[in-house]
Amino acid sequence: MCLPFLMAACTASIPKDAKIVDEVVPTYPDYSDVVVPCNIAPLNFHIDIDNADDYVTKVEGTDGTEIIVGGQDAMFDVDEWHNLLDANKGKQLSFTIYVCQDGKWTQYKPICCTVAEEPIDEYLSYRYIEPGYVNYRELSICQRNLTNFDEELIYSNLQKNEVDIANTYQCVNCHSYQNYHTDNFQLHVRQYKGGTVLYHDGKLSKINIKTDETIGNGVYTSWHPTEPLIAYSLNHTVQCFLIGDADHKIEVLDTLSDLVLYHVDTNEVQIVQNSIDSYETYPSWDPTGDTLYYCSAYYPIEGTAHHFALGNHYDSIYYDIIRQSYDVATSQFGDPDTVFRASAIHKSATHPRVSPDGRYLLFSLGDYGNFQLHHTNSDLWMKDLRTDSLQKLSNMSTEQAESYHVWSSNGRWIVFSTRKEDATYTRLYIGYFDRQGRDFKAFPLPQRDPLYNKKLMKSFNLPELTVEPVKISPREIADVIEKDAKMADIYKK
Amino acid sequence: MKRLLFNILPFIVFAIAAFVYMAIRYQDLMYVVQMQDMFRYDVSYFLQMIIEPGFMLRYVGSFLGQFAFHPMLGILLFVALLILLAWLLKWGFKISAEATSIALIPSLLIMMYVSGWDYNVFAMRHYGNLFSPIVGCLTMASLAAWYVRIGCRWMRYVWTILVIAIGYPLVGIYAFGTVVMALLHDIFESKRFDWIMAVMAVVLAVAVPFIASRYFFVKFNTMFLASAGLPYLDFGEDANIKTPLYIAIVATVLIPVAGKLLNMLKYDRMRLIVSAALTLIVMILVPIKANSDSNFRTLLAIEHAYEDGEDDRVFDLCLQEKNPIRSIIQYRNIELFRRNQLLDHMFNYSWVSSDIKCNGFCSNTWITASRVYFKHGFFNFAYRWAMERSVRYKYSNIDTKMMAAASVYNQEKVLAERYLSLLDNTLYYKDCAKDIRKLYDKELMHNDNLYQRHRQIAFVPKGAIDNTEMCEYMLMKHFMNLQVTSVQRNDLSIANAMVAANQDVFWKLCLARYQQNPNQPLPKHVQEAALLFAFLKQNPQLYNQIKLMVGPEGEVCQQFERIQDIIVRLLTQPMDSDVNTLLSICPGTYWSYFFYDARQPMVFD
Repeated sequence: MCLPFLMAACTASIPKDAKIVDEVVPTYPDYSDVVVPCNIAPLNFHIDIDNADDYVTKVEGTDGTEIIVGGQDAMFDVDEWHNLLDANKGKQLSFTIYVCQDGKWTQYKPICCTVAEEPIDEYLSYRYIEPGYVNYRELSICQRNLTNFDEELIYSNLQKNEVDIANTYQCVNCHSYQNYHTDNFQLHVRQYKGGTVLYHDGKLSKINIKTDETIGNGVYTSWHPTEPLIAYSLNHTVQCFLIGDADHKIEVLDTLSDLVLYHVDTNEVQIVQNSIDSYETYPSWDPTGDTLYYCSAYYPIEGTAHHFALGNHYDSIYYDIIRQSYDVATSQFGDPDTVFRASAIHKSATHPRVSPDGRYLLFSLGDYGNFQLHHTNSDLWMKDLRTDSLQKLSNMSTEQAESYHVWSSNGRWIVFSTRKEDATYTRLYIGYFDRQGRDFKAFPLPQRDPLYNKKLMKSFNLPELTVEPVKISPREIADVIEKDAKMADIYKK
Repeated sequence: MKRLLFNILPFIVFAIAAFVYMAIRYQDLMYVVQMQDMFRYDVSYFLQMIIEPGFMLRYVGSFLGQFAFHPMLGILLFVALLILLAWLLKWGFKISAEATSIALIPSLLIMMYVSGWDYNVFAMRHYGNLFSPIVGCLTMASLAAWYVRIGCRWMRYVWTILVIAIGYPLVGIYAFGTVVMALLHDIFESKRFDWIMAVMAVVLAVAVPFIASRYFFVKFNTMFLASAGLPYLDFGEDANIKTPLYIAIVATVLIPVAGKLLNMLKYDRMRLIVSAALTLIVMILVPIKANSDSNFRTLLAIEHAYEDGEDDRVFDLCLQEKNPIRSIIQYRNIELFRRNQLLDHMFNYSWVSSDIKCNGFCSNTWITASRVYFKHGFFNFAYRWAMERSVRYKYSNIDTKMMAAASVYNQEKVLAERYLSLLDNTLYYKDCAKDIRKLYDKELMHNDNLYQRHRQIAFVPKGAIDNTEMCEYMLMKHFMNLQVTSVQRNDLSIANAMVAANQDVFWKLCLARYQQNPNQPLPKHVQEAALLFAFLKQNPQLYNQIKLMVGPEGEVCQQFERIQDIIVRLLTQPMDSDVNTLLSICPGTYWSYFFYDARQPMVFD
């Protein structure tokens, strides 16, 4: 399969006598006018003109460096590409496409993008999952080297699913890392051989943080940036299915949710919030570790049939963003402080993430609920914590759902999940956020096969950036999952 | 001449018998299996296969399985490969002419395996299940036949290394079977046991799966290393259904030995009798061990008929079953509704349903929910169940088609294209993709029967939710709770209120129907239910009003007057004899449903 490409790449040359037209040729993905990290993998793309005789693409940097490739799929050599980016940091690249139809060449208007000075963290981990409803089968957590196309498996549940027996299926989710490094990381395994896999101080273990005084296992996670502490939300989650609305087929909601802090060294769970009338979720530390941000919805329900009551009112549950100060020395939390009262405007704010410089609070804003992935109206918003001003990231947000997002360690890149392509299959996009607080048009995670996102029948979710790869092998993780989980105790201090 | 006859006749007899037998009984099974499979002519399909040892069997099996879109072609291919397997065993291991028929035993066992399949054909997790066992056995037979023709000892060692090192990733444990065949051949042919080869085979058999799982098939559960390449069917703990396959594989390994043993018999006639008798026993067992569940066979035929667009045939098939499973009852009602006969005829047929006879987990919802919802115009839910099945089992032709169509009806063109592009890369479903794309044309869409039905009956208030897993129960609940907005919707609501014997809902809907069409007579079953419910209320004024509404001189009213004594007895002191009398006097009425069918267990699953 590679041979035609290699031949085309070797023999491609700029056609002479091409007719110049003032049109932009449609490509997939669309990289026009985006800002890309100076270390990003080649932006391979597919030229959306079928049945042409030949195609040539020239990428030219402002400095005059150029790469010329042939074929309907413009695919660039990784080394040549990086040479081009290195020579054009802070400058523009232009992609000129030539298409030969009926023996005549046409030169289209160049597509331009900007190479930023700042790199992005080298590794991105994410989960592959079908955009299903209740059932799942294969779930994998993978890590991708963003400077090329190498993707490695961190863990796949197929390693443990007993294929013949449905009740031995295993859900894996919520991988998270301490401060962009992989020396300390965790991921959850649910159902079969369930527990939380923890890698800490060079040791792999499996823990279970459910205690008699808490409502369940950890779900959404945030490592303290410096200390061996992990904030977890504990969620009882249900799904409802919408019958007649094509834009909104599923609603996911929590019938109970609390917050706890897990002390890794002592294997203890400290309760942070456990009000029955409020639903706390999505914990996230600020970069200093002095403040814990999270979302909370106040929705008192009388009686015990919580989920029926909530299910009937799913569209009137609004989440606010709250923060609580934290003192590492005493492990005491301050009083809750509402950072953004979305409920006051009948909106719901979720997934708070503070930028590495501590200035900006990034979150998703939708009409209701906490599972914004299924809400087409969910967009990315930013609060400047210095000026208290709010802004929608209009260049990154689309008409479809934007939800889970993460900052790069230098604060210049935002990786987020969006359903912009078809409203169903979630894809990861990377957007530039400059020092002046401006957002720019985002681009999809580059793939070797430019049509990969169209062919892939799974969603990406839970993106997490790291500066280094996870060094533990999938089999080592599988081996620790096989063991019994160490039960956590309630915090006694 | 006689020798030639012995050499060929068993193959001819088998070919004719197997083809006829399968053509009569298994055309629908063939069709449904390919419908639940999907072979695509693209690289990504191949790449998604190579995550576990034995992937080549599934790939080739799936390739061959696609031809069952034309069931007779599928059967021809199936039988031809079974004959090829038998011929390879005979030719490869020089089975004598008189013993030829024993070479057919593995083929017969594979037929037995396939003929024992049940509803799990709707729940197969891997591609190529129909043909992969044949391809596996063919691989064993052909490689072992090659081995016996290798003269050089060192070359035989090379052969062993290659068969396990390359064979295991490609065909899984069939590679081990091949080496066992070779070792057995050495023992029986050259009367010596090659210890070097045996030790080498054992070491490789341990090392290759370990290395393969560590470095190549990292997602593969090591627990299944020893069964790689075998079909995974969700048969739960009851593995009986797979037993013929296991025996077929063992038989393929042992047939050459059996051939040698038969050759030791002194008389040709004895060889002939022993081999013919063994083969005959297995042949007789094939239909005996076959799945005889008529509901299953009818459901296969219904699925086939629906795919062929023969909706009228579906109705006829539904009526074949005296104790249908709930899926067939649902299809029957869908077809009655389509014919506008639901409220006149729905209780003419049995409502007493059978459970699904299935090894392992299978429910009516999992098997047919997607199509049932689709036929009702509930495109979100049709999509949901096709997706649930795709996630849990695999992307199949039928589920992909269902998701594509549901997305088109839902006006989700980009999403639809994702599924249509999969169908574009198949041999037999690309035309179907073209047909679905035609609905992008708004005029065609609005004239489309299903779209019209969707508009008529599937309208639901925005935001309405449901979280039940049971398709039939969900529809019943939904229609009973629906506000009256159209005649068609109201008819479905009345039908479900009658099934649930919910009098309050029935009266509300019945009144609405009467007000909408005051000059139109009420459908027969509605008349029956109205009279019964009015009678049960013990309100003479209401009863007389209903009589007037129904028509006091009409047949329904007259018949109800005749059975009132029985009904009174059934309400006070129910006796089986009275139920039987009621069933014999007025079969096919709502009254017989109310006092008999509705009192039988009605399990939604």
